[in-house]
Amino acid sequence: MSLVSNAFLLFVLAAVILYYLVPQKIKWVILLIFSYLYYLSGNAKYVLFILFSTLVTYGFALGIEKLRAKEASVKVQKRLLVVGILMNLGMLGLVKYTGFFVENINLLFHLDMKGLEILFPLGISFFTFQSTGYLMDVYWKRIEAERNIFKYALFVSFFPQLLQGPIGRYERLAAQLYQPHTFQLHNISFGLQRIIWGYAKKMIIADWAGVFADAIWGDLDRFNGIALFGLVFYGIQLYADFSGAMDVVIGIGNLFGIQLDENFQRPYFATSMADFWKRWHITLGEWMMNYVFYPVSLSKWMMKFAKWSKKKFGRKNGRIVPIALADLIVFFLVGIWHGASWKYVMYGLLNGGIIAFSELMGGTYRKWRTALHIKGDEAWYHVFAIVRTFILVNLRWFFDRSDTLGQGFYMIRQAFTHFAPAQILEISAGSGGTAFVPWAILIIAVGCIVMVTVGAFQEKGYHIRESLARLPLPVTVCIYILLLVMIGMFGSTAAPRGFIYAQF
Amino acid sequence: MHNFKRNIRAVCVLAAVIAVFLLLDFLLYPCTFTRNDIHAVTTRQFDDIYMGTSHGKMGIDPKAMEEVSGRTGHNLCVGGQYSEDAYYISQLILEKGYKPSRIVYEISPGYFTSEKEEGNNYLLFYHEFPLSYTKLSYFWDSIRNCNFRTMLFPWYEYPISYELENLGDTFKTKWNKDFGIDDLKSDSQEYHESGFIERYSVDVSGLAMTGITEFSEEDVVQRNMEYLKMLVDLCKEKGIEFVALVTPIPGVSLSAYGESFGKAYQYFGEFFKENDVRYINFNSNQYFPIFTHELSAYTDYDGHLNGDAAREFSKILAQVLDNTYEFPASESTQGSAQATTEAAG
Repeated sequence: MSLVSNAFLLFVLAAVILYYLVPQKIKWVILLIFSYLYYLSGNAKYVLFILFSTLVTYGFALGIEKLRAKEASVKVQKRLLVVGILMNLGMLGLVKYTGFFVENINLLFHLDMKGLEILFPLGISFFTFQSTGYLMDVYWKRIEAERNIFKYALFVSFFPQLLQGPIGRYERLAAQLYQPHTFQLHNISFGLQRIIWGYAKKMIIADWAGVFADAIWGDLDRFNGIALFGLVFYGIQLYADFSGAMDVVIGIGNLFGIQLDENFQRPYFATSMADFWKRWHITLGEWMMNYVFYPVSLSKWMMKFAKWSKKKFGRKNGRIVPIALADLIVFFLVGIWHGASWKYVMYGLLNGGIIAFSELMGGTYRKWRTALHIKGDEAWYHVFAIVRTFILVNLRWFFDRSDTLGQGFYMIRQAFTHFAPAQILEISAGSGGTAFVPWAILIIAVGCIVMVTVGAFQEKGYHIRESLARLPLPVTVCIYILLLVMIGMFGSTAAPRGFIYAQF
Repeated sequence: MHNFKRNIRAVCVLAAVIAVFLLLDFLLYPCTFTRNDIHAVTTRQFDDIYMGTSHGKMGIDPKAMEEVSGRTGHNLCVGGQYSEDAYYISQLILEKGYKPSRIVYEISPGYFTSEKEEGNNYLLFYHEFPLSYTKLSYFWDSIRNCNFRTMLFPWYEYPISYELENLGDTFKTKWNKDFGIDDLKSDSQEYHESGFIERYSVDVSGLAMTGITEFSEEDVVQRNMEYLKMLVDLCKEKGIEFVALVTPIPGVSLSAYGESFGKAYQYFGEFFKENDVRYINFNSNQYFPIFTHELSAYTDYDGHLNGDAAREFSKILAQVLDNTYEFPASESTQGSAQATTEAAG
């Protein structure tokens, strides 16, 4: 059930009405029922995967607590944790990476082995990470294990976030899910506001940009002179699509009085790659930081490596090298989390490489800045840092969007060796055909200006949503209606596109 | 008291939003000939209903047929009509109490190997349905999975520039409940009250051969066949005669894509035989000779007939349907279509 479908809107409406009609005590049950109904609507077989993930992490978390209560050694507890993680992430690995693994083994050894033909369950990358995080938090005593399996099942399956995240943390989300929320017009208004904004980003900006990006990547030989445009369109599409989806998801959470974690914080205003990852897909970055980066950085072998590194590279650099290595590991995992393909490995390593390089070069950069009398807080330098990061970020999209690693390199070459902007006029822009191209580009441009302006205000600390909510009701309603009508008038007229992150 | 006021305010807001959506729909959704078609068949009784695609729309003239058989009819064919649309249109006619005695369904194989595409006249029929149980079923089966613009802004399928240009006329036509046909005319064709679209003759010497999507049984979309079966079953259940029809196409096209047409005709031939349905294929051995396949009778290589040829064809079709057509004792099958017709059986 797509987030933009009539069925989904009616589904949400029914869930909200029922949620506020039933007695306080069983409100969370309504959420659980609707979450599983939502998952079942995709494909009944998928439900086995989410049930497996739920049962494994629920059981192992309780097991760890029981061992702790019996004062079993940390080693034993750790073993249980590792088995739990292996089972949970093993399932993810099995369905997501077996094909890729077999394909490469075949290629390497000239074999003809067949991979497993398993349906790829919707949202598996999100719910396995969420449940694994819970298990590790229980192990680290950050939280207590949930005793009620049904309540825990709701935490893993809460329907708005199931397909595209955000990846929730138990300590922030669970209590909100279980506690009853009374009907508040403010929540409904806030939720609708966010949902409409998300739909506008998706259907006006992302879908139009997608028309151009898809056309260019779909026929590389024909559109080889506008690879750079393709990159820009894809960058716009990806951000408006994913952040639009998050707006819708968070807005739906608001309708139930639940505040889901933010996944974006104006990433294109980032001043460095590390800053970018604190603003883009925040919950994945946070997950990697908490459950991969820190454990890896503090592991015994890394400590040994740090010692060796200090000896080899000196105290200053020796301290940075292990961090850079941990960054590389984290971003390698971020890359393959996105998909089983060499292009994602490249995408991840490129991210990690840039960040690791920046860490290693940090001292040198500081020296350069001092020599050039740049304090670092000048407005022009801030803009320069944003533009520099924007360029770096966009270069990585070449690999993210391409079907293969080779295609990514081909597109980079085309982008810098061949430029024929008029080719863009040959793209069919929805029902208006090629004649609509200038208008479609105008729509995207205006949409981006609005998006950037809103972002700039938020960056400056203005609370636009709150300001809107303070306006007289008729004005607020008029603004909502206007935005909705804009979606009807200026939304893409091409065949509808699904959400990009729904495929992970 | 405070709660009451708040609830009233919420209801007012909701009513205002719905009113805005309805007003925009009233102003922006264009008056199509499908509006006339659906209005006609849900307000008047006809003996025959013709459904199918653009080949049927431009090939079947119910008035010409009535002259021959005395049976009234309305042509509900439209380019973009899939079997699910035909099924729900039939349901709607029955729900409104205007049961025809015969439904003739024109088959275009390409409509069974492709899926109905959202954003491309998807709402052409659904939008014109009056509020009814059938409309709700249609929504549940088909429209619910479309993006929400189909529900809130059905006019999104048309370019906004076109809608704004015709705003005044659209308003007047809808406001006056005008179902006149004067505006449904262009330089190349005109719509008739019977639902028939008359295409004006063209100079065929300048026409370019158009490619077709080759038919393959593996490409058949099961959903389309399921709805076709449901339509056949519905007619049987309600005692309506169901006839499957393939309109003639130019001989040159048959020759060029003989194998593909042959496979398609054979596939549908078997389906209709299994379902005990009368199947009239004007490109098969039996019917091939009784109507011209010369390109001059058509407006393109796809097989859309010109107005005069369509009237001729309709007269023959009326006789064939009523079993009054006298087949010549011996007709030689035209060589160009030999391969196709043999395969089609």
